Amino acid sequence: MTDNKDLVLKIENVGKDYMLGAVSGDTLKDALKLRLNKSKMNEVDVAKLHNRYFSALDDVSFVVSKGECVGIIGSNGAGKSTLLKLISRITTPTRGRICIDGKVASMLEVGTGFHPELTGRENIYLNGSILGMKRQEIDKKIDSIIEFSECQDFIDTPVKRYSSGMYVKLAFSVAAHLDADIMIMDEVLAVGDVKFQHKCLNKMKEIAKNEGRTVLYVSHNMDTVSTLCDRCLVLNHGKLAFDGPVDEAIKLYNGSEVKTNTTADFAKYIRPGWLQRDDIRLTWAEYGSSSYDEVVSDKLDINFKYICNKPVTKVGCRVELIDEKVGRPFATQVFYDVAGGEANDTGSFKVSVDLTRIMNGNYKTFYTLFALSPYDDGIDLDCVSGLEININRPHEEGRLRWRQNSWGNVKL
Amino acid sequence: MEKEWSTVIEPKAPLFSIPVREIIKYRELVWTLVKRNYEVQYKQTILGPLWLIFNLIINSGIFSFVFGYVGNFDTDGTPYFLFYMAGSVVWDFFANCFTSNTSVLMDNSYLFGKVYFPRLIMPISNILFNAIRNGIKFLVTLCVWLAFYLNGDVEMISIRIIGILPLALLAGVLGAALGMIVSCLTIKYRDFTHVTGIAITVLMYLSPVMYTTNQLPEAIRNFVYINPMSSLVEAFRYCVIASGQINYMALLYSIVFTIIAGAVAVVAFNQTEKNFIDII
Repeated sequence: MTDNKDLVLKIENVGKDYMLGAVSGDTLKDALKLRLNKSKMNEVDVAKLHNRYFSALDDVSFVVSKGECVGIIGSNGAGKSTLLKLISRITTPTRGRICIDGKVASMLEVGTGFHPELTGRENIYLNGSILGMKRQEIDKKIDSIIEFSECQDFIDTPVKRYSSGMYVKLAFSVAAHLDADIMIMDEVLAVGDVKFQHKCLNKMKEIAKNEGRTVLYVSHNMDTVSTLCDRCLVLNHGKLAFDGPVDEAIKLYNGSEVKTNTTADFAKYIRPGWLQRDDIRLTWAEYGSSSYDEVVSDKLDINFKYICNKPVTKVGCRVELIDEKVGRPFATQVFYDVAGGEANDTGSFKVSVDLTRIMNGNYKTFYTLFALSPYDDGIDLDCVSGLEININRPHEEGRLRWRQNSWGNVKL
Repeated sequence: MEKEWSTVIEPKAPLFSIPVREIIKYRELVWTLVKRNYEVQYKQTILGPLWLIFNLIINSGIFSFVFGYVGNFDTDGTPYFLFYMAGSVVWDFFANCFTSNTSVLMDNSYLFGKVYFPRLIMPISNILFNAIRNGIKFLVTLCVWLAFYLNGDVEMISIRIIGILPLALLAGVLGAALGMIVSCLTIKYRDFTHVTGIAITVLMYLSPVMYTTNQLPEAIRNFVYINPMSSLVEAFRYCVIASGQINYMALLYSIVFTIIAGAVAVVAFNQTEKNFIDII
C-alpha cells in the first residue's frame, strides 16, 4: 500500500446507472409521483424500477498516487468514458465516493468551448479559461501555445475558416499547456497527422514524466498506452477487471495470454461491450487433437467447457469463420442444443466443424452461444474470439489449384 | 489517518448551496464569457454595439407613435418618448436576463458535457452581459432626458436616481431566476421552449411599460401588481423621471417574490446540473 499522503485520487465503490429507454416519455405526473413515492417504496418496487436501469459502472475502486500515469482500456461500452466523466465532475455517481486532491483538467474532447466566430488567439483565451487557466497564466504561455500549434500565420483569423487539422492542433496545444495536478485525457491523440500525433505524444510524455503530474489516459490504441503509461486498468462491463502492469493488461484485453494454438481459456476473457447477457459463459475450448494446429482433414472437432450463471436450456453454438482480409465472417456453422443447465452448473460439449468446402487458408473464428427467441431469432448469450484455423490440405493431382483472391474461400 | 481531500464527489448534491469561493476562483471565466458574448454578438457587424442604441430608439419611437400619438395613453405629463424609453430599459433588462437563461443548460450542454466549472457561472455571466448592454441603453436614456431637460419638458433628476441600482438588481435577479427555473424544466420537458416567447409578451403587456397604473380601473389595477415586474417598472421610472409613484406594498411583494424565485432557482439548478448531461 502506498503512503496515504501521495494519493491524489481515490475511487471508492463507484457506480453509475443510466435509465434505459426514452426519458422524456415520462409525463410530469409520473415524475412527481415517483419523487413523492421514493421514500415509501419497498424493496420489490425498487427492484422493478432497477430493471429499467443500466449500470455503466459498478463497484469500481482504485487509488492513484502522485505522478502516476495510468492507462484505462476496455472495449466500447466498458465504462471508460463514464469513469472519466465522473472524475472530471461532469456528472455525479449513483453510488460510491470519489476523492480528489488537487486541480483536475479534463480533455474529453479537443477544442471544448471553441467558438467558430472568434479568432485563434481569442479562442486560446476562451478555451484556456474554460479549462481553468488564469489570464496571466495564458499571457505567459501564449507564445509557446501558438508555436506548438503550428498556426502562427492564422492565429488572428476566425477559427471557422480553419481546416479541421488546424483546429484540432490549436485545441490540443491549449490543452497541453494546462497546469493541473491531474490530467484526464480521452483519446485526444486520435487527431492530426502522424507527425503531429507524435509531437503530442512526446509532449504528454514530457508532462507526465518530467513535471510529476498524474495522468489518466483512455485509449484504444495499445501502442500509445504502452509507451505513455506505467500502470493500466482494464474495464469490462462497468467492472474493474484488472489493475496492474501495462503489458499484462494489454495481453488480457487482447485475450492473447490465455490462448495457445489448440487451446483457449475464456475464464478471464473480456467479452465485447455489445453483449448484454451473461446467462452462460464459455470457459474453455480446445481442438480434439493437438495436431489440429494445421488441419488437413475435412472435420475439425472442438471441445468446449462452459458454466451457467442462470438457468438456461437449449443453448446453441455458432462457429463463425473470418478471413482477416475481408474482416467479417464468410462462413458459419450452427450447432443446436449443445448446452444448458441450472445456475452454477458446469458442462462440456463437443462440436464437429465441417470444413469440406472451406479452402486452404488461415482463418480467425468466433464462438457464439445463443438461444432462440420465439421468432427464431438468435439471442447471443456469449461471444468469444476463438482459436485460429489453419487449413493446409495437400494439393490433389488433376484438380484446379484454388485461387483464393479471385474465387473466395468457399468451394461449392 | 484520513487524508484531506480538496474535492469529494458524492451522489447527493446539497439542496441549497452557492459555491461562492469556487465562483470567485473562476471569476476570470465570468469575464471571458461576457467578453465572448459581446464579441460573438458584434462580429462581422459595421455598427457593432450601436445597434443596441438604434434598437432602443426605434422601439421607443414605435411605442410613442402607437400608444402615445395614436392611442393617446396617459403618461402623467412625461414626454412619450422618454416615458417609453425608461420603461423599456428596465423591462429589457428583465426580459434579456430571462430569455438568455431559459436555454442556459441546453445551449451550453456541449460545454457542460465536456468540462467542469461551477455551473452557476453561466447565469451569472448572462446577467452581467445583459447588465452591460442595458447599462449602455440607460446612458442613452439619460442623454435623451438631457435633451428634454434642456428643452424644459422635464424636471431635474434628483437623488432618487440611486434607487435604480437596487431596482435593476431585482429585475436582473428575478429574470435570471425565472429563466433558470424554466431552463431546468426544459431539460426534461421541451414544451417550455415554446412557452417563453409568449410568456414574455404577456408579462410585458401585464406590466406598466406602455401605460401608467393610474389610468387603469381600480379593480384591474391590483391584478397588474400580481406581475412582480409591475412595481419594479413603475418604481424605476419614478426614480429616473419622477413619473408616476412607488407602490410600496407591491414593491415589497416583488422583493419577496424575487428572493423566493432566486432560492427555488438555485435549488432547481443544483439538482438539475449534476445529472442533466445524462438526460439531455
